[in-house]
Amino acid sequence: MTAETASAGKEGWIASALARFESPLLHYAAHITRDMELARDVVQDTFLQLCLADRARIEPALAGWLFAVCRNRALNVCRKEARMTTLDDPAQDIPAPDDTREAAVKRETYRRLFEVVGSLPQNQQEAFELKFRDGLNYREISEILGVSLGTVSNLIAAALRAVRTEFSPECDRAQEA
Amino acid sequence: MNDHLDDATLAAYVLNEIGDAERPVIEAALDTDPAARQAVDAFRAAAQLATEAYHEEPRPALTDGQRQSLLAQAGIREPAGSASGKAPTERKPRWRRWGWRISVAAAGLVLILGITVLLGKSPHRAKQAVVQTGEDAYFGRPTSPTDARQFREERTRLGVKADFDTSNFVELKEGLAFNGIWSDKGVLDLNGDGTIRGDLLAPKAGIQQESHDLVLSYGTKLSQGDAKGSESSAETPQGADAAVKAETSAIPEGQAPDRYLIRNASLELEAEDAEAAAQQLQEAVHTAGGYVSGLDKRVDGLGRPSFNLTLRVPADRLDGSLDAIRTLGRIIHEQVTTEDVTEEYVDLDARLRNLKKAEERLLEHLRNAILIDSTLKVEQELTRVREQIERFEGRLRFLGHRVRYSTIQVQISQKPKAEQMAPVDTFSPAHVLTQAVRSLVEFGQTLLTKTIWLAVWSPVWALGIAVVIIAYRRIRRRVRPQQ
Repeated sequence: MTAETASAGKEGWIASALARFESPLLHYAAHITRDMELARDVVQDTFLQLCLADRARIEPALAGWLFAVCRNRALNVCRKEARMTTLDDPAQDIPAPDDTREAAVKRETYRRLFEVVGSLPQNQQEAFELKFRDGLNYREISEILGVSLGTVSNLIAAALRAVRTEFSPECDRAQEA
Repeated sequence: MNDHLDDATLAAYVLNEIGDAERPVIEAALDTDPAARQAVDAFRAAAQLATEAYHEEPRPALTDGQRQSLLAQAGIREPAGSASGKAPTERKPRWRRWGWRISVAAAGLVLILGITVLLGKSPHRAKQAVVQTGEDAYFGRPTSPTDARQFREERTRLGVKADFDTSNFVELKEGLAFNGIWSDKGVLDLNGDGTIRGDLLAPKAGIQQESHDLVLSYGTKLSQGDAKGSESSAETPQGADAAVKAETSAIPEGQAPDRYLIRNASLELEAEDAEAAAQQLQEAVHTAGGYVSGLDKRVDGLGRPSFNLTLRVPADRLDGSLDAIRTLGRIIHEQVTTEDVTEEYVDLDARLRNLKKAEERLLEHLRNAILIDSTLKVEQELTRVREQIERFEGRLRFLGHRVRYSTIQVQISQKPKAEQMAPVDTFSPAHVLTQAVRSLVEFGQTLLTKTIWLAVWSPVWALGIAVVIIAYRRIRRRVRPQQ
């Protein structure tokens, strides 16, 4: 493989990583920093690290690597800033309401879900969001959080149990459907 | 429910996190365990709800400047007007979209000024065009007859509502994109493919229109890549001038150390006379060019004073001050700490310099803005930038002060005086009498205590005694007849 080919391959790889992980990483960093602007800086740094990193070493566990770097960087920034600002009002980011009643009910349900998840212990929240928002598997989550697979399994089960308790009627309806 | 089918296992099963070998075992167990089956269904419903909710969430994105900077770092050139891998911009608040447009436009303005100076032209006489694509306002300034004719033709064809002849600006209807730059020779193409003619284009179906705010000189053909270059160089810390640093840094340029270290100390000492020691300490601090930032005096039950002092001394006098403090009494505890804040200081300084430059560019843009809408948006962005500048300046000042002045926490307590001890074998009738009386009182107290206990528990022990007496009498009655 020539150097040019390798370089072109790496460029494409980074572009596809950016397309796939940009939003999930921003969500994740914003969850830690509580500030979308800081989160953007963190994610930019994370991808800059990716540009400099050894592709062969990282590629097999790209998602885990990106989230772990993003997490460390976000925690560093939080420590450095030594402040916790309020996250942008989520209402700003909520899409314009649809006219249908069904859509309104859905929005309310989702809002309640985010509230329930937000009230969970920090490690449960993190594991839950990495699983359901970012679609990572248990192994990747365990690498990111630095805990065992069993712990990840327990964290996600506990979070799911809380959601299930809060949403028993909705879950029952979904089951019936 | 089956013992080995705990929630963690069931959740993992629902989420397909169970190995192939385990799956049949769990499924077999589920067939015989309705409670576990019900739990699985509930987990599945909860997982589905969570997946749907997160799927519906807005997808945040990096700013265009950040993405371009990243792609440039990776050696990738993003095609003009493309939105590869980006989230739809309508999900971002409008002011954010405007924010990066302004920064790109400002970067372009810097580029123009640079080119103008290089070409030996006065910046005031340079023809300028401001071109935006996207869904907001679009304006340019075609001044030559050729441009005017071309524009009128396009305007007629596309139904442009503004008349550039009167305002000298072009405004397209919402939803149209101006994919080029008007120039003396026509419209410069932004795609960087070498074509001179551009066109007024309607957005193609399915392609997200991305904005490119560029301010360029007429007659100067600049590709999209040049514009990107100008943006990144404007944001590079190396481009910042020393004057800006000198103005905003908490530590003057000439006195900037290699490392920014915050050195603090805390001491606990015992002095013969705490009051005098505290007084001497304050004088020593003033002599060293420092000051007392906090003083807390306490007097205990025996009338002994103790002091807590917070002192600030110039960092280079810290060691001398510590030596002076050590002479005031016996040191019980001493700790000196050093915190390296170089990284944070340099980072803040670089950010501040960039923000200052962004502020300058925005001010320049504000001076050139004609449309009210543009002016308002620039002012909004300017306010945001200035807030950040103030925040960073505040933090830098704080760090600078902490670097220049060390904090010493001193706790001074008074040494306890030796008490007169009586000989162990000294006889004292009064002491004996006191002890005897105390003993009598203690005996009385104990007696009274026991009596109260007995009285309170009398139902219990009286009942026991009554039972014993009754039993004794019955036994005696039985024994007597036999005799």
